[in-house]
Amino acid sequence: MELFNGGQISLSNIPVLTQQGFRARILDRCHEDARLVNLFGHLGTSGQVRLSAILGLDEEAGLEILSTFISSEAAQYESLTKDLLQAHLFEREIAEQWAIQPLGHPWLKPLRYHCNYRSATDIWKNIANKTIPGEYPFYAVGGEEVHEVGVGPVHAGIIEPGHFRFQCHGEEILHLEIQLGYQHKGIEPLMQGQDLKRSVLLSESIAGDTAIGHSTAFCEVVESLSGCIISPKAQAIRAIALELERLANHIGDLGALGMDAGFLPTSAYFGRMRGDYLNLLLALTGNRFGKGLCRPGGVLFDIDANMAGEFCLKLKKYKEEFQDVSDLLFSRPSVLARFEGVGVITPEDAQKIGLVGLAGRASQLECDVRINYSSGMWQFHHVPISLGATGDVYARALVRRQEILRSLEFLLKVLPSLPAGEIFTPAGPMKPDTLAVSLVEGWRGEIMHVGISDAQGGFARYKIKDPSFHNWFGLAYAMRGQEISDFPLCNKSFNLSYSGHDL
Amino acid sequence: MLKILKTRFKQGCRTILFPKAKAPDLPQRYRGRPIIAGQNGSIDLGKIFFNPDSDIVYSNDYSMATSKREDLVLSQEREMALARALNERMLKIFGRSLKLRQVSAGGCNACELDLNVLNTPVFDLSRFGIQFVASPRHADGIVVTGPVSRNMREALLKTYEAIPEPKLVIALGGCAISGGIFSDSPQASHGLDTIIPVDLFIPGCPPHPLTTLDGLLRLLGRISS
Amino acid sequence: MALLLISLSILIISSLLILLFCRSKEISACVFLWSLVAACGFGLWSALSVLCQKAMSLPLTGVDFRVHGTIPLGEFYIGIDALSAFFLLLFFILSLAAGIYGYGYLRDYTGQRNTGVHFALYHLLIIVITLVLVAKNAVLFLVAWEIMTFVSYFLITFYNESESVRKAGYLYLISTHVGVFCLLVMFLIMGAQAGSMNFDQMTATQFPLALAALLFMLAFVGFGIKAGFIPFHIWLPHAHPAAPTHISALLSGVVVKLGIYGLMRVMAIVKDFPLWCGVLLLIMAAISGVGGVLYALGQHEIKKLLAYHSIENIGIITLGLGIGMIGHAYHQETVAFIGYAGALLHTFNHAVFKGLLFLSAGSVIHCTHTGDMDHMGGLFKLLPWTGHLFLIGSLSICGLPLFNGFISEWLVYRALLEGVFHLDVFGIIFSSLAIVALALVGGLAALCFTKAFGVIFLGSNKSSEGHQGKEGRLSNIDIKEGDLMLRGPMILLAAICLWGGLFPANMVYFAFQGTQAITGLQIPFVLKEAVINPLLSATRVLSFGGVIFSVLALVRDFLVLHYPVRLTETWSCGYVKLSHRMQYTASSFARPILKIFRSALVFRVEGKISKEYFPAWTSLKSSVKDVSESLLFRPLFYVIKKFSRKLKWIQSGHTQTYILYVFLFLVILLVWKLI
Repeated sequence: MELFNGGQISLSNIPVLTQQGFRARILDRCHEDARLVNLFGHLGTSGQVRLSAILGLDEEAGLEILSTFISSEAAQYESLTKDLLQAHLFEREIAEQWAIQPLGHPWLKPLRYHCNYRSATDIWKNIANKTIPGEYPFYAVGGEEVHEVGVGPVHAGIIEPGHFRFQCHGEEILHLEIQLGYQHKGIEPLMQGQDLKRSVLLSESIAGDTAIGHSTAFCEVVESLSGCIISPKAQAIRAIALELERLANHIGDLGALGMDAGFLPTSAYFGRMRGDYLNLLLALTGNRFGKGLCRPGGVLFDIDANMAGEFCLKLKKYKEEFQDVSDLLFSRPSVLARFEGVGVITPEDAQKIGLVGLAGRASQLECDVRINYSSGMWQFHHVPISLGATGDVYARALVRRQEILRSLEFLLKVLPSLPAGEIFTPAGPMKPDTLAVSLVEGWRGEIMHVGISDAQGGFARYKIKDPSFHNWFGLAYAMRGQEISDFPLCNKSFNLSYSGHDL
Repeated sequence: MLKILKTRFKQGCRTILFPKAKAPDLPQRYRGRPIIAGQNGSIDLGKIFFNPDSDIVYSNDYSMATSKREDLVLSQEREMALARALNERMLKIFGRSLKLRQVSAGGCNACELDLNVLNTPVFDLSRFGIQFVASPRHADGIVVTGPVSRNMREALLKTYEAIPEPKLVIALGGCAISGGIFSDSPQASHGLDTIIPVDLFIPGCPPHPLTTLDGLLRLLGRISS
Repeated sequence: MALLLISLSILIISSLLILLFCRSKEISACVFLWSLVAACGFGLWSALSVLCQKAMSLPLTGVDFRVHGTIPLGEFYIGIDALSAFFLLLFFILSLAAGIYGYGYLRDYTGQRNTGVHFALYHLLIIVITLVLVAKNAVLFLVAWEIMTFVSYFLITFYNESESVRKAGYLYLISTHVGVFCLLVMFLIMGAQAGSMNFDQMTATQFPLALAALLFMLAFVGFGIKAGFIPFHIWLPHAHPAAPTHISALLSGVVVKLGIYGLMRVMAIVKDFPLWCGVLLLIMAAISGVGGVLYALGQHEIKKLLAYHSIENIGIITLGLGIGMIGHAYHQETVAFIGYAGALLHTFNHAVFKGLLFLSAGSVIHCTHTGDMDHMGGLFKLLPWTGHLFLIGSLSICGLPLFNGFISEWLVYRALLEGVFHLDVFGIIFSSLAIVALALVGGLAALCFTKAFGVIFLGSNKSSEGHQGKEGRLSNIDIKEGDLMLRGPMILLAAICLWGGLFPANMVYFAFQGTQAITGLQIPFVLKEAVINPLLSATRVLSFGGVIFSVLALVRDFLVLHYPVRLTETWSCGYVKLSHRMQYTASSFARPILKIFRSALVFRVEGKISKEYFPAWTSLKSSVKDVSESLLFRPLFYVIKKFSRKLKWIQSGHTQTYILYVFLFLVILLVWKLI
């Protein structure tokens, strides 16, 4: 069944296939041109678990949705992962959330350490009572000569918690396994109340650095379900905020990359320049991360002509500064020597893993929601796609630089010609028993929210997918055969969200 | 080399003079300490989300950090009691050099990011002798962010345990103070002070870097009200 | 001399007694211990009396003892000169320490072997080695040398129930016999030239340079195999780990050094060699030094690692010898003197610290029942004595100040620097290259012992996953420090290491005495001014620094005495379940360096990085292949084996055929006589 970004479909219209048919359809489509964008479970009316898969057809800007029922007694199905790597984390998530066994899954381990949502017996016994990390069955390379390096959950820097387990011989990494789940707060169940006012705040806290991206996705789901069409001005302001968020994070990452390559001047300058963009967000929304801007029905803060002019002036200055400093970074041989050839992901691997966002683009994947599934402002202003060639740290840095310049161009084009009109149209009640999807290109990549409404006007199931969910495996895979000292650099080049993964 | 020097020259000095001079003005839309006048009932700074679509009216004032949990509850009758300096003995130990370890315990990463900002040239935290260190063994205290998720609880306690005595505990952000937006979740706790004793509460979602800096400096007696 | 004879007689009588009482373990061990102490005491006394009494003006003297016509073609003629005395000194110290240790080590041995026989053989080894060192007749020397080889073979193969031990024993026996063949030829040539098999007459003879070169080559191969020069070293890394610990210590400390003694003795006899002999020695020394330490880095087994370090140190000693020979060839007496003295002193020092290291490694193996370093770890807390003593040995072998290794390496450096200043362009090139090699060896040795000490003693134990307590601490209580019989000898050796490093004057003086015996020249007067005084003041400054450091440490300890000590577990990034695998292994530590030198070494890692998304179980193993063993000797042995198989028909096994051979031989003799 065809669906588009921001579209909705009544639950009864979603095709239900047999388990074999479901599996075969997904595999067939994904081995052609489609991509597994989401795979999740929700409770069907009869108490059975309904698995729904959303496939993305990047070329046609279309989404295909299909589903199957899993009986609650057998609670098992044949794993997709052994034939489709992209399903790997989705199936682990389903196994944990719904206590459904994906038969033949090659890497079936806990993901976030919580009880399942349907009060059945957990696949991992007593998972909720265990102290999470000690029980994780890490992959180990045999032999006494191999040593392991375990890092985290409390890291050396001010970053989020996660445990990294390296299998090393000398400085060489034989295998890296990343175990997350420390940040798990149970956001998805919390979203499933009736209080939308509270839910929008939660969506802003899925990943603090992507507050605009996630809250935009949430608002689009609600708007889609309630049939609310927001004004062009509100769309423009959301897009501006999204690009400001992208700019701030990309610039911060370039600084951090310089730092990890051992080149401090640019890291200090970029660190400060990141603050400039956050301060623009602060001026616009009253919060440095843009919390409080997006609400179902539009935005809460307007940009008047004065503010737009002021922003333009500042952005022009910032652009000049950025070019100065980024030229300095990208012209240092010592920096380039650290960037090049480190943490390479080939386009084939990237496609199989299902990388999204800038990590995917650095490996030549043409994936950008703003272009492939354009909605809102992006239908009127096209941003060219920024691709890297080499799939290494250098490519990921270069894609960032390119995107920064293109975002600045976009802002300087949109700000002086903001559409007129209201910024907020109150959204009505949501259509019951309907599923809505929205895709947003956050600064890390493709964010997808799926909301299924219940009869009472709330959400029966709310599914959040941060781009990090696709990309964490890419980071782990990129480290094989690298020196362990390259890990911080490589990690920074992906800069994935722990919170967005753990929810 | 010349290019580095040239860029350095162009960048100039960007460090704010605070606390010697007034901090730069925050934008008018910034949501700082709520204005209690005209409100009925009390406002708990540790529990509000500083969102614009609530009934609360916000001022532009960034100083909000307190030494006690109950000081965060604003009401008509009570003046805001900002954080007080540590006692003399603690000041003698930590006054000129304070090493902190940060523990991220289940938050959304916004607090962590704005804490990192304190290390940029704009705020230049190290000029106050305050530094974030890699190991709790080198630290005098911890800064905790996030609602202390169930999965992070043990790691947090281990970190707390690893810090030599005497130690300071700072709860940063609404989540750490009360569980914040996640307080309804069974995975989150209801405030850091229910787990370990806390010396400084810095509210906000996330706290503006100035709020954090102001709180830290008040704790060290560098700013007095 | 009389003292030495007393010592020898004690040994002979007691070894007979031990054999007599060998059914009773207690008595034989008791006799062994006391006779050992007495014999070594007398031996040391005799060596010291020669080294101390003889003034610097009397080279090559000593009191001789000869019994005419006791051996066919030779006589029983022994005497102690300063060179012999110097080697006797180190030999008796080490055999005393190793013997006492062996007594303690084998006391609770419950296997099949008779320890009494082992002890008697140990005494016999001391006797023959003493004879090798004091023999003044080539035939006596060779006979003693042969017996020594056999006796040490039996000592090495104490644990002969194991296949690898037997193989190592054969390898030792065969390779040293190849050496003996060269020595036999060498001494025959010398004897023919001098008209006597006595060393005195040989010394008095002038050898033509070409003949000297031939003699040098024969000595180089013959003694080089014993000393373990690369590429003749292949027996060494196999024999050391196979032998019981105290025998390894003696092997590495003394038996290997006899190769050096032999070379020095030949130098004392022949004196004038062509220049290229010295250069060859220098090159081989550099190869042995660098190669030895690199191979050592790649080892996983502690005794094998120490064995390769013996090769490295033989390299350092030979660097001194080489520069000495070059100096001698250039008639630069100071260069020659310092070089030889450095070599001699390092011989002594190496015997002491390597003995110490072997004994402490033995204690570790005794406790952990494994020699694989990657199974150890965390022993410093459990074996504090062994740990500290091993640390002293490690610091000494790395040539760090305050320890004896520093003094001798300093002398070798000094000789090479003198070479740079006093020789012509050719000499300068080789001296400076040798300095580079020595510096490389020093750095790599420090790295290697960082690895060995760190992996064995620091961290947590890697072999006891099952026994691990909650906090990753070792809970198996069967690892206990050895008693005084094991600890005492190590403490003695460690004390000598420190004494030699802090108060080097005596040992340097003794080394110069020995040098006089080698060169037959007076000690140049400038040496005291130019070498000994700066050395002494340097050590004084360093020791003063050491004292200040220790005082500061004590003051600090005193100041924090009243503060409570809080014991908590190691910071593990907040992770709950630590694993013993989360620490550097020996192999991992060495890999970056081995990777750099992988073109010179055959460094192999089995177990590739899996590019599978979900890899199946794999394991990894790395090894360093000994180039000369696998690329030189194995193919050689293979060819020999093939060739000899072709001659197999001669040995048919029929008595008739053999009678035919005898008959044919008689016919040939008859015909030869008739013609």
